[in-house]
Amino acid sequence: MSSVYQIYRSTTIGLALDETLHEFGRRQMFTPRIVHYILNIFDYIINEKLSFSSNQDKKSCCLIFKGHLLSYRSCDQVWTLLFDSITLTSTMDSSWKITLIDKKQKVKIIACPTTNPPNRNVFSFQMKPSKRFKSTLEMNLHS
Amino acid sequence: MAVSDVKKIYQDVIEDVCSAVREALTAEGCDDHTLQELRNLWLERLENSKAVEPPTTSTVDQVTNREYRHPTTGDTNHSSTMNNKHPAGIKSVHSRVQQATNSGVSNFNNYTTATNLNPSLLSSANSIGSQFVRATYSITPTNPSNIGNSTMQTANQLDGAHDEECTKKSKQHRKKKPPIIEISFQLDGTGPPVGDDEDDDEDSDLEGNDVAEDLEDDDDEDGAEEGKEDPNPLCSDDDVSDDEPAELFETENVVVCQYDKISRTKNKWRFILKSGIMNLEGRDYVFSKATGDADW
Repeated sequence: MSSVYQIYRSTTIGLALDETLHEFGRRQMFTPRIVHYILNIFDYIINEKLSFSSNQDKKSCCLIFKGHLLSYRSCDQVWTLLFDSITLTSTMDSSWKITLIDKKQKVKIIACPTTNPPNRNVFSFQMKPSKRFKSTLEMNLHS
Repeated sequence: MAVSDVKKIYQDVIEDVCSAVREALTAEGCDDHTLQELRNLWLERLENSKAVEPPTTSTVDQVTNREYRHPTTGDTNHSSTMNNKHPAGIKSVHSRVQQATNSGVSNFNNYTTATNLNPSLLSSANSIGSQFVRATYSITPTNPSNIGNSTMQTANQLDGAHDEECTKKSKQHRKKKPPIIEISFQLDGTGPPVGDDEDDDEDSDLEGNDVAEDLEDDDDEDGAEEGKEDPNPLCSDDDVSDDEPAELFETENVVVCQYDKISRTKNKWRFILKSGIMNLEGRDYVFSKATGDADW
């Protein structure tokens, strides 16, 4: 069973897409259904891209972090972790290091349970417009 | 996956999404020009966010700058000029605001401590005044006690010629409202003893004002004083409002990821994360897998 998360919509690339789609919607170039459809496609692709990359790097750990956990909460298996100091290093690049030890500059980690990467067949099926979607389009064209 | 590959990954995602939705958009009647516009606008917004900007300096310099900047949070101007990047600018402004609010809070604390002093002064003054009034009442009707004598002496010295008027008025008001006086005796019993303090400004009230009103005012002020002594009800700190955690978790540095395992032993936490996108100081990083340790 594979599923995709919508959590990556809150990232920079997700927000950029969301703003672009809303602008298209304001200009009446996209219907809300198309906007919803493209966002779903984005969810599938970003989940697949990140999962595919993590499966490739099974041998080596990419990122190591140490820090002080200020607070945490877990709701419906979704963890929210708040660090008030954290140091991140990379095993792939020894020169890469980020140190955030400013107490005012906290780091929040939002983590969902790991899911299997989305199935390609399901993915390709989802990319096709549904029958209901087609019929709605036809109705709009006829009207 | 290298952390610096974020721009390439984002471009791949954009290309994949655009190619995946082409069929659906064509079915709706949108041409390739619309799809191209979608791609361009998406890329433009992504670049405007400056989250995927290639670092202007080498990674080693970036590390040293970052490590240099954080210990010197007070000197934000210096750090911002060193980095000369948008996130640093945001940080400097943010830290300035934080400093301003902190200083404001400290000033406010000073102010509150200053204001907290006033009720204590007022209470001592009120208690002195009320005890003085009580003493003058206790003089005429009954035989004066030792404390009454000592207070009477100070009253004679301060009041001078108005003493007789005071005693007359006190007689009248005692006849009118004797229970109030008895209550005032009970309420003022725990006040500090009236002794050598000759700076009784309250006695001026005895000259022209109604003494009973003074007594009532004193009672009110005593009541207010009791309220000021303990402004917060008992166990008020036990109530945790729901707004505090929401504000606590508000930060600009957000990591969105999935977890394989999150475990805790006493105050030691261990995390195994994967498929994460980090936004730290306005810059994006992507990791495929991450392990972490933390103390709580």
